[in-house]
Amino acid sequence: MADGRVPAGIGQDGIRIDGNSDSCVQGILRVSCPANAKFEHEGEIIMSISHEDVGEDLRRIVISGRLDMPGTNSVASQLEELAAAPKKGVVVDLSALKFLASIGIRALITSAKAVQQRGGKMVLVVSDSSTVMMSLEATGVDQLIPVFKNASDAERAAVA
Amino acid sequence: MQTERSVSPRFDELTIGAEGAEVRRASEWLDLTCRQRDVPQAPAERLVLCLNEVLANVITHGGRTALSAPIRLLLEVRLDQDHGEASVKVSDAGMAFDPLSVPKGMLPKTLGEASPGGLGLVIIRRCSDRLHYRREEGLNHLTIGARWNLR
Repeated sequence: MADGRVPAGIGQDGIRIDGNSDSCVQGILRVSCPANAKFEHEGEIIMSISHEDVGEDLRRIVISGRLDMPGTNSVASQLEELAAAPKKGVVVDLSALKFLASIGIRALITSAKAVQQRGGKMVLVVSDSSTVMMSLEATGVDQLIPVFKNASDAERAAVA
Repeated sequence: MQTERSVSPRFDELTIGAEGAEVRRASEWLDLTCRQRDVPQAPAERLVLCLNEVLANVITHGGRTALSAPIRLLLEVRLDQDHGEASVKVSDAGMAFDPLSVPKGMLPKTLGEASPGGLGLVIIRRCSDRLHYRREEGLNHLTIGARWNLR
């Protein structure tokens, strides 16, 4: 569509999708992209994925809500697309994420591998005391994808 | 002599459909019921995570019989003198599957080695304190327990 807006619709598992498509401009120091999507379930917003490009080298992706079965099904393909951008570093900010199940971890691993295969680096931002950290530690994924408590440390590490 | 803390176990029950959206309803029910039963936050969170993985496994790998029958959840909260335990028994009509029969694998050391599969079982094993499985009358009954100290 001309304004890049995707019409609201019903996605998998009856989740309502209302989002904007990516229209980032490259080559500017920090670009706030209008691309974002919110996924509603029975009237309540349960998932949100958005991103911004920081210069030419870094993409920051923010996911909030619950990466359980329905939540991951609603954002996994968008996460994969956003992480596929030709950036040196990708920061996935999970500090507002409430829950991370194995299906969500699988989506993170898939994206991290794709970034690594093109010579880039993906890192995570996770609140130290959250259940999200528990999921990452239980599966050992915190040893595979670097985890940071704050976004600025993560951004530095992603482009180092 | 029975102490004040050696109380009769409390049971709560929920029946859900075998579909993704119901997994979230089950999580919300377990979270709320654990709070109502004074289960501390840490074991309650571990139990909710394990329940998610068990239900996702039933729905994804349980086959047609799993998807055509409801899944029954039974929460039991039990306290004795030294510790408490919250456990959920998940009863489903899927193909017989004992997660305890699956050999424990090594965790990958690099991202390149990481396989996207099998993480659910790793979570169930590492985040629970007790697992018990039995197959009876065509149903899988898997009990997951999370404990905490009272002293």
